[in-house]
Amino acid sequence: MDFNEWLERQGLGKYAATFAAHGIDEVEILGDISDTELASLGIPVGARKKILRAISQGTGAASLPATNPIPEVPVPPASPHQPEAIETSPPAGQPPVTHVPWVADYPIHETPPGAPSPPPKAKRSHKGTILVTALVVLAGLVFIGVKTSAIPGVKKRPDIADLIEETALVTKPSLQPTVGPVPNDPAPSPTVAEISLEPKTEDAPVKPLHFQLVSADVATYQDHILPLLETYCHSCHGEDKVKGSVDMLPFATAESLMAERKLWLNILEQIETEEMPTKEPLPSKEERHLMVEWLHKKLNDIDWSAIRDAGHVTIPRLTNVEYQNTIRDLLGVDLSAVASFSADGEGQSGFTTDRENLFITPAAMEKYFAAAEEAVNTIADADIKPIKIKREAEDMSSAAQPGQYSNFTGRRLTIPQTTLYDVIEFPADGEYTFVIQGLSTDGPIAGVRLRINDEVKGDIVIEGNSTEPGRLTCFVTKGTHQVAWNKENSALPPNVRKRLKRGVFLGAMAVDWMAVTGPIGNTTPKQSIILSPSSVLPPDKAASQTIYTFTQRAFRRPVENEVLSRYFSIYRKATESGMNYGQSIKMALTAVLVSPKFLFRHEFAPTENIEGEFELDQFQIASRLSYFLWHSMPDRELFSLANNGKLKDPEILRAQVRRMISDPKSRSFTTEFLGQWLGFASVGIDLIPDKKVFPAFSNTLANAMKQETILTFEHLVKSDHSLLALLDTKATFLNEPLAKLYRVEGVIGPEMRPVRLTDRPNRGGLLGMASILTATSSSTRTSPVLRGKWVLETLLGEHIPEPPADAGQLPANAGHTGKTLREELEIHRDKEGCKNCHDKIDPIGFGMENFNGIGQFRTKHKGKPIDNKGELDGFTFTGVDELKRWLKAERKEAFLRNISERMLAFALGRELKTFDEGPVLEILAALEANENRAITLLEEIVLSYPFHHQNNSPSDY
Amino acid sequence: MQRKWQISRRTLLRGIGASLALPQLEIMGASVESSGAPKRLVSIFQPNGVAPGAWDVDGVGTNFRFSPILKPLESLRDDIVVISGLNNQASGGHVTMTGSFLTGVSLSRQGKNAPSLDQQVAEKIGGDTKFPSLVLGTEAPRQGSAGGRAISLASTVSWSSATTRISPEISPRVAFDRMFKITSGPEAIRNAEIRKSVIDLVLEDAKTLRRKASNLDKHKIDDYLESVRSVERQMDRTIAPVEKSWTPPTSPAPGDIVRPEPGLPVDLNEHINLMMDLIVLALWTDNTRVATLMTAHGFSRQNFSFLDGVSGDHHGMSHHKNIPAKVKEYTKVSTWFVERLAYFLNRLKAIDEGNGSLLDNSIVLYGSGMKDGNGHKKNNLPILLAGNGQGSIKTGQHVKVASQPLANLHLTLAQKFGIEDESFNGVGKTHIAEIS
Repeated sequence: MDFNEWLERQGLGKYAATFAAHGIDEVEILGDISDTELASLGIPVGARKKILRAISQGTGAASLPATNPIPEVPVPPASPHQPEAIETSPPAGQPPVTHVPWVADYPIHETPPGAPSPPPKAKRSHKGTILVTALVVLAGLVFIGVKTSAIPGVKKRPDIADLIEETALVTKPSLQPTVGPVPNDPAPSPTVAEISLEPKTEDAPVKPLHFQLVSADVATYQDHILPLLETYCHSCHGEDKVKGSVDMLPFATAESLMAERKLWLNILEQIETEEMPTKEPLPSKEERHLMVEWLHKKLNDIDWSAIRDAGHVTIPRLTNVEYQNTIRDLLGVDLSAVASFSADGEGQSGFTTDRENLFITPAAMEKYFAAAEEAVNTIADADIKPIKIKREAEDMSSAAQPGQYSNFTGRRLTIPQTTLYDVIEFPADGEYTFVIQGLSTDGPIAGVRLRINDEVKGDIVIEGNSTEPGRLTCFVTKGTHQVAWNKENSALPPNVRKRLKRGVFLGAMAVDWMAVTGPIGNTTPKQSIILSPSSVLPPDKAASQTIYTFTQRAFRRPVENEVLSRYFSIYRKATESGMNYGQSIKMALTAVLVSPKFLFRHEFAPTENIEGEFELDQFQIASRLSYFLWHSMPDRELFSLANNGKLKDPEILRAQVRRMISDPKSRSFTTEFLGQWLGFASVGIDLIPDKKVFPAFSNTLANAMKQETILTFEHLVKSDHSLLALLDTKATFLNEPLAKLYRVEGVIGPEMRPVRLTDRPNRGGLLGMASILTATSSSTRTSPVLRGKWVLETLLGEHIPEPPADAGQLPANAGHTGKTLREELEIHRDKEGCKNCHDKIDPIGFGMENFNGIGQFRTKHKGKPIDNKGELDGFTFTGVDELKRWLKAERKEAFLRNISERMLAFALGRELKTFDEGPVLEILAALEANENRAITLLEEIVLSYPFHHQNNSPSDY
Repeated sequence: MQRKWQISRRTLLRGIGASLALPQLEIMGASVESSGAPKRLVSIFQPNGVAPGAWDVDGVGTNFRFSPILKPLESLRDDIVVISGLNNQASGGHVTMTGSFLTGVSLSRQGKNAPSLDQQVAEKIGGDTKFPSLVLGTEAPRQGSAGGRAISLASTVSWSSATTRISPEISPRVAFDRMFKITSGPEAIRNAEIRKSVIDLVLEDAKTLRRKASNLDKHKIDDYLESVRSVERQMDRTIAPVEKSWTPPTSPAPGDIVRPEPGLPVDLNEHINLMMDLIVLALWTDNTRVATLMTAHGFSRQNFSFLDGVSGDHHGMSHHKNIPAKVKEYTKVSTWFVERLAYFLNRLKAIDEGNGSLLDNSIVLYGSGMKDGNGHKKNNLPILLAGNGQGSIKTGQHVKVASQPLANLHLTLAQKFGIEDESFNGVGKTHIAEIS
């Protein structure tokens, strides 16, 4: 029987052409296609259901012996107790291919790439091979419904499929709801009962439905549970409509439930709490009990520690942020070309680190070429000599006359109009340190401001008779610029200004001299990237050493000789064509930066186990660490640890997490993780409050809002506080614009600084932050629904179904009409189908109504007092302060689980699957044992199984 | 981070306003044996649907009356064909129904789609031009998820394969520079040669990696290989320019083209016009023959309060609950989008290519993947074509077809560009005879 015949037999003949057009010509392939994919081929729901049924019931391949022979199984002579033999990973830390020795400290080395060494023999046990083959075959057998235990001597690694299979295997081949007594009931259940249900709805079929009720221990999905779901759930969730975006039709087998375990946990809860079904026919008490018990057993009664599946992370292309940071750490260049890259969208995991969602397209490739050329050109003029210039004030230009002050000759800056300036050539873009030596001539304190080409760079204050010079470091672009100083008292540091207010005046400063040094601060001095040939270092040798060091760093791992010699040959060809040394080496380095080995992170499997699960090698772990916490390449220390095989040791990993998080580079982690998780990254970019309604909003303010949240989290992590502090910490960071918005006094100046919000019960914690409050408002008004949904979904990780498409939204002028927003919403949610969710969502949003659409506090809106009362699960509260207490007391677990899951997904670069429950539980246990400390979360993620492994054949759930 | 412009800028193309025909600039000395101007495909996507009553057209055939939304196209009556009766196979919401606009196929739960019409046509006819296609937009991918799918999926309607989507270029400056950077002269040739040898090397790297990649990862390496080869083809063309199959009889005077400012314009009107100008320029100069424009993100929350009588964002008003005031605002926005289309079509029409205008040599597909935002309605989509595609499309009429998949239109249009497949992505199987 061929495929088409099979289709005919299932009554699906008319779809033969559709399947043929998509290359689907075997039942097995059909079995691999999800319901959504079938739907996307235009197969209607009834037919889809038939297909899934036919396949799950083994009507598929099992009845096709001619075209689908069961492969010859080479039964391995293994004993039943050899699960460890399945591990085919090579010892970690040993890259499988011979490479030149890793040089962690980049010394100038005498080891240019020599002749390629022969590839090593793959080490691998014979037993392993057979077992892997057997596993592949087994996978096929499971599909056609043969008991795995039918093959003697093979013990499959335990996974979810097994656990489900165990129940499925006792399935007897029956029975839809049957009419009349069931003959020969083989279920050995003492609790068999038979009930009859007479549907009360008038247009329902008259014939009574008979369900066989067995205990949950022996019940099977096909025979006992699915018929109940079909009767009580499917009409609203799949057959006629898909309410609340819950479509239950695709779930034809018990296994399929596990693929969407979260959804089913939600369904379970709804059945258990009798929230569902809402309409006749309603299940009897016994039926409800059976569904609940069975689902509990299926979904929760699982030994998660027995399940080890690392899941598959798509080969990671660098995100734009990672690319920019990597170039920065590799070359010491802040590349402007990255600004032209198309934005990375968030993937299914909700993060831009989601690797499946990162693409390379022709247009993007052109940009990578241009960026590589730009980057390399900046190092090509890198024979920069840092400057160290000192100028006596009397040698500089100024309207102020030189004079004698204390023990020096200098010039005195008395009024803002008087400047002291000079022209200085800056050899490259970079950070420069400016030093000024002087003294205050009319008071305890004096201050001057630095401008470069009229751009304000900062202020320096000199106290009393201090002999210490003042210092300031700032970024200056390459070129010749005017450097100017003058006295300015408008925006000096706030502590200084505060003192000035009390009648102390900023004195004039007599300047002795000023100095400029730089560029400084690059961890990798540009000069060291391209070695200059010299009398002791001939050009070819300089080139090969340059390429050797650069390539290893850029590819973030040891590089095979053969690859090195190819990059060297580019240099060689270029010199042969008449290019000079610099141009030729540039070509080779450009090639490195557009190589897939640079643009993608290396997470490939050892060659002998390409399609299996394997432990990542040490350099792969180094990159996972650095891209998680820095969004950039590993540094010297990580490379060195990887090279010595130390990144397996939990204590070393913990120490690295602490070291890395205290490095300023971790700002990328806080910014990206928090901004994307909490959804405020787009504030001021595409979430722009309407100027007419919120005149106080500006881009400066938007940045301060985002910084407040980022810095608060960063502080919490660095000081290793409890994660719960995110909900209500009183320690925050403000600058003048944001403090104004919050009506907090005494914060002056544009820089963010720590502030304790002692007398503001509503502020403090995420719910009182303007970033969140703005991100959850519409452009013209607050949105209690968005805010409530944000708390439940984003903060606590609950699943809120999409509203029905015709539910509508409130008009933008809601709340501007006679009724209050609350009244309008109450009318709106009086609809059947809205109430269920909005009863949970709206009270939270109302509790937050004291904050307007950009987070300003208010007690009245349009003259009416704000009603900020709400009730949740029998808990009544007033305002955000009590809401926060509710969150901390009642929803602590949900919050901790959610932040853990979100961060794990962010770190891995993929959506979490059901099989990740084990690692998540381990993380949660560790948090509980460690007072929920922030660094514990980071450490546990870094120590988790999926962080150290990669599976190229992950299970489906 | 791209900054939005704070001040208004001129449009990119000076001097060719809607009413002003461009003088024919004969290309001196270029005596091209013209095989006639090529056929072009432009696809323009409008997000969030329309108010059905305000879009639907009365009367079929040539005797149709313009609906309120389509009114701006009145002067182009003979150049357009409005098609009623096409349905989106995808249902759900703004994300899925955007994804299927040019593919006919519903996004899978994992975000997989199918190759889109524009990319299929680009693969067929794109080989003769510098760029096989040009994909432009105005909004970066949005944050968040809807209906279990990442909203960022709706930032494009162009897919080169089931797993690879093409991010629209949203910066006018970047798109302009890419299109018009100088690719002739000794400097350009030398750079191209350098890139060529770099390309040879990295292709080798990619092939090595491909052998190491698992079946789940191979497509990512394939994307890389394909992208590098596309850069390679450009370099080949720079080093040894191919004999063009056709040289446009006119070209813009250098002084008429203004390089856009960096960053993004604040004014949406201006942003879309610039992107449209870029497409006009690219087609006119035969840099590409396939262009796609996302007038906004498929789940756009653009604030349209710059229009009189409109407050709030587009997605919000698309769920209008049939409240008359809201429907009115929604319709104003839809009409504004059609006004942009009229601007674009008039520009195409103003360019004479000898055998007809640029519009006559094009097929412009305009529409939305959703009929009405309120209820996410998927049947009888708002769709129209403009330009007769060198006589291959019967314009000047309203065609009411029997209810059928949008992919049938994709199939019909693909065939106009020489793609003779039996079906379009397995969904479109019947040609729409009424428009040919």
